[in-house]
Amino acid sequence: MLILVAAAITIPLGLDLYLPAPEDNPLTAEKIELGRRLFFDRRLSRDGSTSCSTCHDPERAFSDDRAVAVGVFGRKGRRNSPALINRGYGRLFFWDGRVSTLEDQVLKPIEDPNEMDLPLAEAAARVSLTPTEISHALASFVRSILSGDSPYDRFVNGVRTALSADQQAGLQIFRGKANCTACHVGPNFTDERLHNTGIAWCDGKLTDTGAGQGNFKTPTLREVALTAPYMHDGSLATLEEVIEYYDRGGNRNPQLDPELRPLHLTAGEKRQLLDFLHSLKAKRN
Amino acid sequence: MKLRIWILILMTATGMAAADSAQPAKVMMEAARKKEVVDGDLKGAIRLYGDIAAKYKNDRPVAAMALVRMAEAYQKMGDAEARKIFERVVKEYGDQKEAVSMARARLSGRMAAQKTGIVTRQVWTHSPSPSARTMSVSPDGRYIAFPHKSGNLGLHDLTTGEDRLLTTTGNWGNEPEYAGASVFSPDGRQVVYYWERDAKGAEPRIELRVVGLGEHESPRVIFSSEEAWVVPGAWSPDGKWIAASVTRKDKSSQIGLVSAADGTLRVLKSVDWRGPSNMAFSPDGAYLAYDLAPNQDSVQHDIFVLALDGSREIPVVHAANDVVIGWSRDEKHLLFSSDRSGRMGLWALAFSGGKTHGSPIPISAEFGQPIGLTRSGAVYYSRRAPFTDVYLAEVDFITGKVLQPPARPIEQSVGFNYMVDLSPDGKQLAYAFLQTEGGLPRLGIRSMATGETRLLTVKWSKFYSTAPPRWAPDGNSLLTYAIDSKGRAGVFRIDAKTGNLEQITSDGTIRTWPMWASDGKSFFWRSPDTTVRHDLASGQETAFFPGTCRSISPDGRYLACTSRDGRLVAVPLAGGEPKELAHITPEARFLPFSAWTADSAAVVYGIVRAKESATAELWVAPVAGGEPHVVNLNLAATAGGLHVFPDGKRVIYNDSAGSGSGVGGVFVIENLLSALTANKQ
Repeated sequence: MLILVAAAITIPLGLDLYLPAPEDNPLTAEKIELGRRLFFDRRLSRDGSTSCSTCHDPERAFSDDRAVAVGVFGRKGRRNSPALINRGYGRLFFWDGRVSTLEDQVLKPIEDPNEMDLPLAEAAARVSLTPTEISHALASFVRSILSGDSPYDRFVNGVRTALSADQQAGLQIFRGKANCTACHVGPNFTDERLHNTGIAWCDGKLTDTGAGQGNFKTPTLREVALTAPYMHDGSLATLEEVIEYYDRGGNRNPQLDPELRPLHLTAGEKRQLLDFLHSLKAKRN
Repeated sequence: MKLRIWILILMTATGMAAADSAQPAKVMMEAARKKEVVDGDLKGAIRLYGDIAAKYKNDRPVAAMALVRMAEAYQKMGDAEARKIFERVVKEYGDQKEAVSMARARLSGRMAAQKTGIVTRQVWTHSPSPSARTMSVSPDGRYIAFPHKSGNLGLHDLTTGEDRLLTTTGNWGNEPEYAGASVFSPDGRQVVYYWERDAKGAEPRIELRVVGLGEHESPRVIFSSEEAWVVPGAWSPDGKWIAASVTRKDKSSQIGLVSAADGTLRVLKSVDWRGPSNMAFSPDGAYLAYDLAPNQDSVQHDIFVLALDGSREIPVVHAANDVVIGWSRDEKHLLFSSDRSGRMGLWALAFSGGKTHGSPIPISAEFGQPIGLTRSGAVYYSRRAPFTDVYLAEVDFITGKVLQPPARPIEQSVGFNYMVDLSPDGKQLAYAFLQTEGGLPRLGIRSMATGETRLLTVKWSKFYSTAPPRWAPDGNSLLTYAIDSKGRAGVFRIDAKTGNLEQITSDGTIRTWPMWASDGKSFFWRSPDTTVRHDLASGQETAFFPGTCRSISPDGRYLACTSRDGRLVAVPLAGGEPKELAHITPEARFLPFSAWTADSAAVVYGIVRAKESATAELWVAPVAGGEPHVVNLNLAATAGGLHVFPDGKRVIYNDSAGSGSGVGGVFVIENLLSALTANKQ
C-alpha cells in the first residue's frame, strides 16, 4: 500500500515518486500514447508544417537549437523553446510563468500565431478529438518525459564513483561558491520561480519584461548540455558563456535578483562547474 | 512432562502470593498507574488506587497520592466523584504538600475537565528544550522518548516517572554524538531516531537508527548518507516504512519513505528549502499527512495529505500556522495544532474518503508543540514554561542605588521576550519573542519614546544559538548569525524597517555573536575561545582577544572583554595592552554581558558567585582605575543582555525573575471523541 503507483510510467532514479496530475486527467498509458502521436502531428498547425516536436526535438531533450522558436510560415517567436524535461513536476509554465497547468499550457502553442496558428476547434476537427482530449493527451505525454538516473543521481544515491573528481568539485562549486542552488534547486534543478537575471536588460532598458520587471522562470538543468542555446532569448550559445555571464554577476539593472553577484570563479572552477553540468544527463538505453 | 508443568504453576502461584503479602506501596502504585495509563482500564485503576489508600491509610504520603490518582482517573471518566476526592485531599491531608498542591491545581480548573468533556492533565514536569518536537510518545502512552541531556536517547516511563537511556555513546565532548527526533514503531517495541555525529574536520554525519526498548539492546543504523540528512516523522501502521523529512546538500527538503527493513530511501515529494515539521500516516496507511510552508514567502505551515497510491495530494488546512498531529481514534478526523484563534490550540477536521468535510473544529484552546497520539486517541504535547523577559530599571551607577525598580516595558508575549539590544542612540529596542508555542522567533522593534512596537517578519529559518541581533551604529539595521529561508547559514544584516535579510558571510564558518565595530566597516564575532575581527571589504579576519568581547564603549575607544581566567578587561581598539578592570574567583562566572556607562568611564558587569547560585550581582568597574563597586539591582543567574541608556541611568536587560506565569512540561489531552461528538450535536 505504500508503494506509489504511477502505473503508466516508471519514475527514474532521482525524481519524486509522486508525479502530480489533475484528478480529471490521471495518467494512463493510452493517453500518453495518444499524446505522443499528437506531439509529432503536423496537422495541428495551420499549414501542416509544424508540430510540437518541430521546436521540442527529442534529440535535444525536447528543446530547439535555434535561438527563438520558428513557427508556421517561418514566423519567428520571441523566446527560446524550453526543454520539456520533467515538466510534470512544474508549477509554472512558459518562460514568463503565465500558465499554471500543463493542460492549459499544451494548447497555447497550437493557437499562437507565431507557432502553430490553428484555432482549437479546427485542430480538434482535424484529429477527430475534442480540445479537452487534445489537452489531456498532450499533457499526459509531456508528463511522461522524465530525465533522471544521471551520474549525478547515482552519486547522490550512494555510488560515489559515478562522478569524476572534477565533477564532484564542480558540484561543490554549484552548491557553494557559485550559488547556483539559490534557484536551481531540488531534484529538478529549478525553484519554479521567476527571477530577473539581467538577460533582458540592454542599453538601459528591458527588451522583454517577461513576467514583469524582466523576470523569467528558472529552467531545469537536467540534460542542460543538450539544450543550447540558453536563456529565455537563446542569447547565450554555450554553457561556457552562461557560466561567464553569471560569474560577472549578470547584467546589473534595478530589478536584478539579489542572489546574483560577481562570483570570482577561477578558470579551473569554471571548468569543473561545466564538467558537473555535463553529469546531468540521463543514462541512455 | 505434566508433572513439571504442575510444579511450575504451583511455584508461580506461591511466589505471587508471597509477593502480594509483602507488596510495597510503590509497586502497587506502579501497577495501578499501568492499569490506568497503559491498559486504559480506568475502573480497574480506581479500584487499585482505592485499595492502596485503604491499605496504607496510616502512611499519609502514600494514601494522599493514591487518592489524587484515583480522583484523576475519575476525572478522565468525567465523573463528579473526582471533585469530592480532590476536596477530601485538601481538607484531610493538609500536611501532604505535593498531593494537596496537585488537588488544588485540579480544583482551580487548570487541569479540570472542559465543557466538551475532554480532559487535559500534566503527565511530566520535564520542561522541554526549545526543540520539543524531538519527543515522541509510545502507542500505549507509557513512554516518552526524548533527547537526554547526555546526548543519548532517553526513555521516560510515565507510569513510574523514571528515566533510562536507550543509547550509550551520546556525548558533548570534542566530537559530539547526540540523539534528535524519534518515533515509536506501531507495536511500541522499537524507536527510530535521528543520530548526529560531529567528527572534527568532517561534515556532520546524520544517521537514522533503530533501537529496541528492551534492556541492553544495541542500536542499528538503518540509513546513513553523505548526501541526505533524514529526520523521522512517522512509522507506517504496517511497520514497513518510516516517513521522514530529508534535507539535501543543496539545503532543499523532501518527504521520503525509508524502508524499516533495509533502509532504502524513496523520495515521495520534493519541496523547497523548508521541510515538514510533522508527519502522520492515516490508520489504514493509505495517506500521509504533513505540514509545509505553502510557498517560499510564507512563514506559516499548511497541512496536506498525500494519497500513497500516488493519485493526488490534497490541500487540507490553511489560513494559519497549522501543524499536523495525526488521526483521531475514530479514524474520521485529522487532528492538528493551529494558531488560527490567536493562540496555539488543538483542532480537528473531518477527513474521510480522501476528502475533508466541513470546517475545522476547535478541540482545546490550550496546546503547545505536538508530541504524538496514542492508540487510545490521547494527544500528547509539550509546553514551554515562560523563561525570560525584558526589564527596564533606573540606577545610580555612582551610589549603586536603584532609582526605579525593574518593570516590564513589553506587555505582549510575557515570559517569552528575549535577546534584547538597544540602539546606540537609545531610541530603539530590538528584541526577539516567541509569539506562539513552537513558532519561529519574531523580531520586535520598539520605540522607547512612544512605546510603539513594529513586528518584523524576517525570513530566517532560525536564530543561531543565543546570539541576539545587534544594532548597527546608524540604527538602521541589525547584525546576526542566522539561517535564512533557503537554508543558508551566515552573518546577515537585517533591515530594521523591512526585515529583509542581506547575507554578509557565506563561507560556512559559524560566526556567532556578530557585533559591528563603531565605524561599520568591520564586525567582531566569537569562536569558542577567541573574539575575531572580520573586515568587510577584504574579508580578512584577525584574532582580536583570547576571550569573549561583548560591547564597544560609546566613545569607540575600548571593547569590554572577559578572559578565560576570570578577568574583565578593556581592550583598546586602536591597539595597546588591555586594562584589567576586575577579576573573579574560580568558583564564580560572569553574566553574559558587559555594558558601558554612558560616559564610557566604566564597565557594568554581572557576577554569579557560585555554580549553583540562582542569583547574580551587578557591578561597575571604572576604566581609569579604582575598585569596582556593586549596584543594588537584583538579578537572576540567568540575566543577560544588559545595556545602559545614553541618559546614564536607565538599564534594559533580560531576566528570568518573575517572568510571567504558566506551567511548562508534557501534557495529555484525553477523551477527544467526546468533543468531536459534542460538536456534531
